Parts: sequence; C-alpha cells; structure tokens
Amino acid sequence: MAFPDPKTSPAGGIAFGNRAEILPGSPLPDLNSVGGAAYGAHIKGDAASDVMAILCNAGVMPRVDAVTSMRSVNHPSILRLLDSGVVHWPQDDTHYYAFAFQRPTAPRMVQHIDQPMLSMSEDAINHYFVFPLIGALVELARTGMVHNAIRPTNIFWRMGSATAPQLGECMSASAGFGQPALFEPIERAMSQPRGRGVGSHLDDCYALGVTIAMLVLGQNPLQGLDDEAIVNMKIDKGTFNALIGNRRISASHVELFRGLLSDDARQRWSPTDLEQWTHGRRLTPKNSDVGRRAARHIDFEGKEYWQVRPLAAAMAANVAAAAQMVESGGLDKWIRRALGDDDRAAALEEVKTDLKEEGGKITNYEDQLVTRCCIALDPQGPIRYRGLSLMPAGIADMLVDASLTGNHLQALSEIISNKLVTLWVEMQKDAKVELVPLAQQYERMSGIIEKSSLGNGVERVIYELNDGLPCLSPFLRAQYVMTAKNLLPALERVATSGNRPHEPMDRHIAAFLAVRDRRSDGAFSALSSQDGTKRASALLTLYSGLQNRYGPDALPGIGQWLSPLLEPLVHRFLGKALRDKLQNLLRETATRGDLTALSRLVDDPNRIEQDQQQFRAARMLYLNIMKEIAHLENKLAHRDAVIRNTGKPMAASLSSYLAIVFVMLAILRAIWQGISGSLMG
Amino acid sequence: MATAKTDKAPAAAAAPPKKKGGKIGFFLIVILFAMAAPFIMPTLTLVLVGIMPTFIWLIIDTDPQKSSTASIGAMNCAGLTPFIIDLWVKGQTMENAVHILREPNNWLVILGSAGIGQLIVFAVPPMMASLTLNQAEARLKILRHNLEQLKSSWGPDVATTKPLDKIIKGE
Repeated sequence: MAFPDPKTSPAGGIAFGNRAEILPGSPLPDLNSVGGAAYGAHIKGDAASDVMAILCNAGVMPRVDAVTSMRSVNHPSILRLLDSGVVHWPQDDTHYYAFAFQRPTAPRMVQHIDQPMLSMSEDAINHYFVFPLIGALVELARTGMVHNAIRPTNIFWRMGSATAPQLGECMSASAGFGQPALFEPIERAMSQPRGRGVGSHLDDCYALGVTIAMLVLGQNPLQGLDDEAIVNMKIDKGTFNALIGNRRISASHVELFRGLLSDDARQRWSPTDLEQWTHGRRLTPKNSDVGRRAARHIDFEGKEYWQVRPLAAAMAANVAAAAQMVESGGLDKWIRRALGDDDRAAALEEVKTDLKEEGGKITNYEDQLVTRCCIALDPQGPIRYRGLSLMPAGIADMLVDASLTGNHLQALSEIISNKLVTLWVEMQKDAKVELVPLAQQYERMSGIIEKSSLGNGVERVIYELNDGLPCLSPFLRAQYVMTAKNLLPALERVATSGNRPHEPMDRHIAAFLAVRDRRSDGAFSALSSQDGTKRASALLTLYSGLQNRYGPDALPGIGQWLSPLLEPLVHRFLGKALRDKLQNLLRETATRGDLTALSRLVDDPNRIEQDQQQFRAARMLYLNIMKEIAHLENKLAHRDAVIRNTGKPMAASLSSYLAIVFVMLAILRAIWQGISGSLMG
Repeated sequence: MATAKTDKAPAAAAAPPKKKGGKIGFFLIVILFAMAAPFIMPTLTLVLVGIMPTFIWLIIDTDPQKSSTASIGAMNCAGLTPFIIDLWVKGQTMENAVHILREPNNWLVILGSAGIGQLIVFAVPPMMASLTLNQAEARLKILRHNLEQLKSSWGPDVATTKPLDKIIKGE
C-alpha cells in the first residue's frame, strides 16, 4: 500500500492539526521563533484568518505536553494558539511539529534586548503595557500555563501605542530554552538553558519584572554583560539592586520591582499579588536570607567567597578541590562559624553521612559528594553533577537532548539512579510538600533506569518524563511519531524507503510503546532474548496487536521487512512439506501486509504441537524400519540358517503330507480290493 | 568341593529342562510293543525291517531337530503301509511277512518311497531358502526406500535421538 502524499491544498498549503494549513511559500522571517521558522498559514474554511505557523525545525523539542493548557488560554495580550500537529515538510521530506498562532498585530517590541527603548511616562507604561500584561499573567495562572518566554524580544507591541502588547509564543522550544539569563531567577539562570524545565508562575512574574524594568529604564541595565557575569552580579547584589540600583524611578515602580525581582521565590509577587497591586493595594516584600553573607570569607581555589551560592557553583566546577575541602571539615567550620547557619551545617553533615552509609563501591564518589554538598549549601539552586547544572524539572528535556546528541547521557542516568532529585526535594523547606510528587516520580524512574531489558532503561525514562515526545528511534526521527497509532504507518514509510535497518525495533521504539501504549514488561522480555525465533515471534505478536487495534489493514512494507526475520520461526516446523508450504504462505501473506495473519501462520501453537507429534511418530517408524532391516540383513547373511530353520521343517511337512496321501491311497486300494474280491466271490 | 558344587549349580540352571514325558512315552511304547509282540510279531518284523532306511538316516542325521529324518521316515512309512495292509489282509503270519520281505519289487517300493523322502530333503530346503531370501531382499528394498522417504520428509534428524528443542534451534 502506498501512502498518500502530504495533503496539499490548491493554494499550496500543507494541512496539519485539525484545520490549519501552513504555506511553505510564505516565510515570515520577522516572526521566526527560538524553536523554528515562521510561515504564513490559514485556517481551513476561514480564508480571512490572519494566522502564522511556527515550524519546529530547530532541533529543539516543542512543548507538546502544554498544548491543551495553551489552547485554553484566551487573552488579548497573549498570542492565541489556534491549532497544532505534525506536518510533512516536502523540502526535506521530514515530519515536524507545527503550531498555528494568531498573527501578532504589531512588530516585536525590540529586535534585541540591548536595543534602547522609547522613553514613556509612568502612567503610560502602567496603563498600556504593565496592566495588560498583568492580565495576561493572571490568565496564564488561571489556566495553569507557565510561559517561560517573557522578554522584550518576545512581546509584540508598537512602543507608545494604546494597543495592548501581546506575549509571543512559548511553545516551539522547551521551557526556558531561549530565555536569556537576565530574565530568569538566579537558580534557573545558573542552570543550562535546556536544564531549566518548566518553571512556575513566579518565574513568569520575575521575567515580567525585568521586562518592565528595562522599559522603565529605557534600556538594558546590564547591557554588555554575559550570562555568567549577570548571574554573579545578581547573586552578589540581588536582582533588584543589580538592575535598578540607585536609578531614579517612581515609588510605585520601586514597590513593583521589589515584589517582582525578589530573589527569594517565596517572597516574590504572584499574579494574584500583581492583580491586587493594580487595584491599589500595597504589599511590602519581606526580607530574605537568600543573599546572606558570611562574617568572613572562605578561600577556595585562590578566590574569596562570602556567600554559599557562588561557592556552590565554584565547588561544582572544581570537584577534586571541593571534595578535599569538604572532607577536611573546612567547609563545615566556615558555615558554622562565619555564616552562623547551623541548619545548613547539619544538612551538609547529613548528606556526607548518608553517602558514606550507602556502603559498597560508590561510583564517582567525589562527584556525588560534591553534588550532595552543593544541594545542601544551595537547596534552591540547580543540581550540579559532572559538568551538568540543571533544575529537577529540566532533567526531562536534558535527557532528550542527551539522547539525540549522545552527550551527558551517563551523567543524567547517574543523577536519576543516585536519587539526587529526592535529595534535592528533601532539602527544600517551604515548597517540600508540592515537590513530593516530583520526588516520587524520580524514585520510580531510578527503578526503571536500572533495568537493562528492552522497554526499560534510560530510554523509557525519557518517554515517562516527556509526555509529548515523539519516538526518538534514529530511523523514525524524520517521521515524528507521537502516538502508538502512528508507529506502524511510520514504520511502513521507512520500510518502503529502502533505507531500513535489519529489524524494525530498537530500544527507543520498545520504550516508546511501553509508555505510550502502556505495554507490560512481559511484552518486551522476549524481545530482549538472544534467541532469534523468540525475538521474531515477540516482534510479530507486538506489531500484529498494534495493527489489530489501530490498523491500517495492509502493511506490505513491514510484512516484507519482517519476512526474513520470521524464517527461523518457519524452521521450527520439522515436516519439510509443511515448512515449504508455510514458507510460500509466509511470502504471500507478507506481501499482503496482514501481520495478524502472519502471526497465525507461523506462531500457531496447535500447528506446532501437531507437527512435533508427527515428527515423534516418524522417528518411531524409522526406528522400527531400522530394526526390521537389521533382521532381514541378518537373514540374508546366514543362508544356512534359513535352510535349517525354514527349509528343512518345510521339507518335513511336505513329506508328511505326501505320506498321509500315500497311506490314504494304500488304504483305499485295500478297501477297493476287498470290495471287488467280495463281488467276484 | 564346595567350589565345584557352586560352579555346577548355575550350569544346571542354565541348561534347558529335559523332556521327561518323551522318555516315559518311549518306554511305554516299548513296553506296549513287548506286551503285544506275541500277537503282532509278523507286523513288527515287517515294520522293523521295512524302516531300516529311516533308522540308518536317524543315525547319520546331525540336525538336532531331525527334520531330514522326519521327512525320510514319513515317506518310508508311507511306502511300507500297503504291505502292512496286505499282511493284515492275507493273515498276520511270519510266513506272509517273510514272503513280503523276500519280494524285490516290494523293496523297490519301500526303498523308493524313502528315496522320494530323501529327494525332498535335498531339494525343498534350498528352494525354500531361495524363495524366503528373495522375499527378504524385496522387503529390504521397500524398507530402505521408506527410510529415504522419511529422511526427505523430516530431515536427517528423524534418524537421531536428538531432543526436539535442539533440532528446532538447529544445534
């Protein structure tokens, strides 16, 4: 069966989602996004629709798992998501995910974050910019959607106009991926861009605070600094001081910025607080010990450290020296005496003791020790392990990236198997209850990642943690398979492409099916077998089940792909005639593409049992014939014995019969003579 | 002595049991004939003289089954039967018996019938053996063909005792 070409409308649009069409001939470079290029688009049945599509072709996984939440967002200050789905892109014959958004009514607010901004009055800024965007944040909070991409370059607004600004799209790339460190709270800014994960609404409030600050100040106050310098400055001074400092701004804005730019998430204003602020209620941010400084510094690798956060970052960057400092007790003394934080010192002691109590040979002991100590020192900060720096929510996306690039996969696996996320959650103070499900999820993942069988391992963890992730099997990447239903049609396309691997199965496909199709481990245990027949049988059972449930009815490409793998199953049959017949039927059924019929053909237990019974009977017959042959050969080799045992008794019998006849004749003769003598007499 | 006894015991056990009934029957016949001798002496004389060829063959026959003796004896007896009937018809006297024995033609019949028995002994066993062996060869051919058919239908493993799972795995 040949699969149809991508649905192309007369206008040259390619359909995707439920009713959207992307126009490959209408690129919109001004609207390009972090996750991919923008194109003109329209909605079927609505010719006047002003739509743009983002084609996610930048190699970053889109936020497919957030589509439902985003579809429910309905606010004039947020670009409306109209549709989404997989689209076949003819230029490179590859399938991509695409989003159809309402096209922005204004250009980007600025093209880059260092671009100077128009000077505006406080009232104008509040009325035309801040209030609509606060409304947008409230709407996002209502729908449970975290934007994670609020920045001036992703806001569409003609500066100074009375038209409300619009938040740009946040779906084409993983959360926080394209967000400069300037717009991320310190702990997320210290993480790698792909390791930030979906944040909270408070992170959106922080990003909005930075954006408003830039507009109020008319420029980027940290212009020219790289991300590391920005983070260090935020840690050193606090975000408010780093951005606003001694600059002259109105009292209401000072209050707003103190609320939004608080480095302690517990003290930061939420969308609800912002809404209250717009109604005139005044909130006073509390003090926080996030940037707490020690009474005296600690020397580490030739540098002086006064705060735990930069120290933790420096320790993670120099594991050997950090481990030595921890083991020597120098760090503990500094925390107790100079920082005066007995709780933190106790936490440090606890992680050290726990690691030692684990017993056995601990892999990468120093890395683990330093990571655990860093978590104890900076609980809100990222997990720093073997060159990685990521928030627990970012592990899922980092795993995807690692799986695609092959980088850091082992380190990420160790983070999960060593239960560093559980430790991170345990170290949190106020938010601990909310994070329990996260800890439980990663506890379960640590069990899965230890299993090496097909359908388990790190691949399964990737799909367990990423709901909307397509199958990452190397030969299915261009197909963008998102559901178990789409797997067989995609494999069929691969099968007919002529560039197919030996088996239509690998660790990613198995893990994908285990998660997306909720298949039990038992369905995959046989697939891990070294026995080719068991593996082929399990593969056929799996795919015939999928075809049975989801179709399509004919999969000739997969049938012919599986055909050589099923040969060993046919060779299980011992009768040559049956085998020849089955082989012919196998070829015929494979060409027809009916996997269920193929399964019935080669994997029928009754037929197998009957064949084996007949073989046993044939073997018995063979044995009996051999015995008879031996007997006959023995007879032929001993002619004398035949004469003696058969010939002579036969001669005796013959003589006896003849003798009886002669005796009878003699008696009859005598009787006859007697009768005739009487008659004569 | 004890050793000798123990050696003999298994040998005795292994030996086939002797036919006691045979000896008893033989002695009964001898006693019966001895008792009847005064009444059937002419017949007895004719029979004992007439079956001399059988007695001679019995002595020279080395076959334990005595099949040849049985063949010759049966025919010898058949040849003698008309003369015994004659003796009984003409009167059972020693004179008639001697008369019969003195007739050369009678000897021709008696010895000729024994000769036919001898001829059967010489001719029939080889003929029977050839027939039997020819049949065996024909059967052997059919059986070998059947073996080949089994092998072609089920493969060479049908001739082995290899476990099925190993055959299936191709080991």
